[in-house]
Amino acid sequence: MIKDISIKQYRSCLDTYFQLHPNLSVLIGPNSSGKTNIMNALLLLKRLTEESPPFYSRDVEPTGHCKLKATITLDKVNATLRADIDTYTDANNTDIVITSDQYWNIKQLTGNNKRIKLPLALARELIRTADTQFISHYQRRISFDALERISRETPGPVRAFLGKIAVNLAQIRYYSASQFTNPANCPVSFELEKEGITTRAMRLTGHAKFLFDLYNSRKYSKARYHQFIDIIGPNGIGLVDEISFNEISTSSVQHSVRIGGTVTERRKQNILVIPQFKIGQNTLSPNQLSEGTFKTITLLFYLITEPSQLLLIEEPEVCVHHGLLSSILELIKTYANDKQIVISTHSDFVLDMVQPENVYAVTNIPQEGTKVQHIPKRLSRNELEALREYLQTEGNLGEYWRAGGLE
Amino acid sequence: MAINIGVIAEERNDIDVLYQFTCKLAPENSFSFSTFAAHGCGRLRNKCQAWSKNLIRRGCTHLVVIHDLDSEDQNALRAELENSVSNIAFFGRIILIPVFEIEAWLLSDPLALQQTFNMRKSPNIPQNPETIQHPKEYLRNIVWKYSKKRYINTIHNKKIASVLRIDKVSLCSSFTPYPAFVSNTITTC
Repeated sequence: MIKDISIKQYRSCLDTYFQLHPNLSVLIGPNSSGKTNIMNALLLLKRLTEESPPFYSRDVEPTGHCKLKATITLDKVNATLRADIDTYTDANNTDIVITSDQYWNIKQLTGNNKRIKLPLALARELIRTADTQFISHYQRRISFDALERISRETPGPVRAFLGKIAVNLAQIRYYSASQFTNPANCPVSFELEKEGITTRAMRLTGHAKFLFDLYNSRKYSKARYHQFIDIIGPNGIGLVDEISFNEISTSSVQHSVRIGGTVTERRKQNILVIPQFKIGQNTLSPNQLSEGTFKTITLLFYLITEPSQLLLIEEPEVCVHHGLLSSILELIKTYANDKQIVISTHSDFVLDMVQPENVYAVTNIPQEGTKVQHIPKRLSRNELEALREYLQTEGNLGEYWRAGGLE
Repeated sequence: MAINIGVIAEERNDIDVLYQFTCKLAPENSFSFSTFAAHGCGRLRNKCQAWSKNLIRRGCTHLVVIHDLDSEDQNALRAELENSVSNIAFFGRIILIPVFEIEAWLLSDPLALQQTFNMRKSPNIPQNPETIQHPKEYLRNIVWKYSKKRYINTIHNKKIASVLRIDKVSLCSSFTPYPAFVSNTITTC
């Protein structure tokens, strides 16, 4: 769980700090106030666990430099991360970490305030290999002596703890309504190699990635997948009656010519996967689903099936009928008991369904950048009492917000 | 002719639950609902009078208001709601005040839960579910414990209500007056 985060020099977050709600944080604020930047800054914590390989960083000039400080709680132990990060923002507006210095303070484990220098990507690698000699990327970037020093200076339990944190942060999931616009762009099928399914799947993005994740979840995370089907199916919100995957075996032949003219033949077995969504009497391809249906299915899929401990959701209200939206929000509130969820919204209807304790006002102040204020702290005692009385006797949080009561 | 009952409740699913119960108390073609869902108790109180007037204009002859008691004083709350609708000429009206939340009514019949969530066995629920302080949360936990399914009130309340035995929910003190209200409403019209 992320307790708090301080963001410096990252896009509009010049000096932004806020304490996240342990379950559900709802960010509200005008356009361009910095809500998305806060989400992206939280996503940087994930990016730190997947630091780019050295060949990438050699050729790319950083486009930004920022500082993050975050308190992360795991197994009741607080760890404070301070990171100086050089980033490169690619054409898809995705931040790639070029280099970073990461220092940890885990007084509860170490008994002192001494800073520990251990990058999350390395901590994640260490927990996988448990042997400094077999660390792939880092063998090329960090000298063996440096690895030995980390190993020597960082006690085993601390390394294991940071490894667990890295694994957790690597699972941070981001959902935005804009990711799944226009289902017509969605492929009607996708092809996988029978062996090494994941290699090809790694190249998938957007709609196709969702279809692959759906297919994969049905195969390998059956319990979660059934929960998902139970909720979107006829026993739940009734969005679709059934999802099926038609699998067709295909094969291809690759020829290569060796020196001396010998021709070798390599036969590859593939699976063509054709997803189908049954709604009433109709069986539809994914690209025939309406935008609202597609977005809702994707949001609920990742909400229900992802093991992530932090889920970031931007504007869950987009393209969704208010009746369905209340079910989505009830689900979000339910899952917020199991995982930390941060949502950003422009919808007063969303606000109607949460408590003031969950709400954070985001503003962009000239010269100071994005600021976040927790509503119960932003309001004075009298104002908060007035709000509570209003909610009890007069109206809803959404209309209170719309009328300027939270400003 | 079907009578038109106006219903004002905090949430849409409260109305859905009441509709299912009413179907058990009267033939489905003998009544219809015109509704307002407030999405919160404050808005319900504020809008109760205006919405009641609107319901009359929409042809409602009877009115049902459902408002959770939570931690409020029942007499004061009832008086306030009565006061806001007292001048509006319905043939009959009833104010239902579930003790904590309407979900307590749904907990009155364990077999309905078992059937809705395909539970292997009937869940253990206190004899008087109205004593449970957070019935929604309790229901969520019990559904997860017995079926490993997620309970979502907006989806499942209606489904539970549709299979719930009316004699069971009638034992809940806050629901007790409703069957008589429906019976009088249908027979008088």
